Amino acid sequence: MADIIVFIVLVACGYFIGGHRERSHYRSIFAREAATLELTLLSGKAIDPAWQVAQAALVTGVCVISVDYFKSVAAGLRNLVGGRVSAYESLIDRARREALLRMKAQAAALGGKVVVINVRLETSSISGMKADGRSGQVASVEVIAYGTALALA
Amino acid sequence: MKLTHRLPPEGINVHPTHPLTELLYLLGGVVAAVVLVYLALGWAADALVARISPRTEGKLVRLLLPAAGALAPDARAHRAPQQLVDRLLQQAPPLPYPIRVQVACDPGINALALPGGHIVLLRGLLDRVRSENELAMILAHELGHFQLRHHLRGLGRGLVWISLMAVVGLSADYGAALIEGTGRLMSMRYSQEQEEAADRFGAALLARVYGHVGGMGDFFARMARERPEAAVLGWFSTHPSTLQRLARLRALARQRGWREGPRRPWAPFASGCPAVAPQR
Repeated sequence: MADIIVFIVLVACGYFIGGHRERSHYRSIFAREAATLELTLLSGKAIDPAWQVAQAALVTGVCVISVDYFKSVAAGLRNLVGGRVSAYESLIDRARREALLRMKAQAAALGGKVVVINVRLETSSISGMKADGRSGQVASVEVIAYGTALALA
Repeated sequence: MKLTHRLPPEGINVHPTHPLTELLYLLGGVVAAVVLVYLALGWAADALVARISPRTEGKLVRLLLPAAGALAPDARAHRAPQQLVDRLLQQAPPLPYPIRVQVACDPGINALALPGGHIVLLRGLLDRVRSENELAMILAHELGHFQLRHHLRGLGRGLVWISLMAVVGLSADYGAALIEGTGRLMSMRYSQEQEEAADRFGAALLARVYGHVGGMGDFFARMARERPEAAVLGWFSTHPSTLQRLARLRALARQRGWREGPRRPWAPFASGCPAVAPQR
């Protein structure tokens, strides 16, 4: 009985607190994406011959976001039946966009007009392994975005 | 190269379903699937146990009897309840095997119906009995389990349970917990229905043997007073709550016109069990 109450409390915490944090994170992502819209990100390696490159630098943005209890319960049930794990989709989406935004912030620090070329994204999961080696229940996702920032003269 | 700055469109990478909708949909689906599998396997188990012969039952008891714990060393301990059961059996429909009553030294308040016609009374229960009639009700309840072949059905359900768990052991954490919880509730519901059926059988037998049902609810009523938590906690247990059982028995007595009557005294006897601190 006590187990069930603890479980429900944890799921409710995950749903209400995790949901609130996700919504406020998205608001912040939308605002910063709009604010940094002028900073160009390109996945290609080519340098436009018209660019006068004054400085080049490696820029990175890293972001780690934790799964909440509600999401992991929903995903655990999804594991039984298969299909689209929509609970994790928003998690990965947030991590990816946040990493890009942090990389943009680093690039903007070069000053002037900046273009980032050769942008790459990599994702890894940080599993919630317990000290005794058994798999824990709450894991995190890490996304790193990196590219070559070119400060244009 | 002409570049146009544009914000990414939403709702492509992230599925727009509400998270609660999805969770409820998944919960409902998994619970329904477990209930169906449990019912199907339980039906199969019931069909099989109806075919177990009394001889096979006798073999089963050799596996299960040691689990009931050490038996009372004093032979007199077993004799008095045995005589009571023999009197009850004269009025009961015949069973394919003799019924043997034994007293175990366990301080728990319980009585067990094991395959092969073995009734094990735990000493904690015997210590709390105040009249012959209420002990007769407990024994008649256990005879009801034999009459209705519950002891074997319980075994069949137990096997269903273990096989379900073996399958679930391979899957994800939360799913396993959900399946286990649903299955446990189902099997408790099933077990509660059996207890009620055994109660009805026991009350009818008591009325036939004594001509009245005096003492029928005494034991339950005393337990409800002594252990209030068991009196209300029904749904999460293998037995219905004590108050529920009392109410159902009284309603049944009213319906059948069974009357109250004088209780016969029950003399406590030496069990030869080692002394233990009373269980709280």
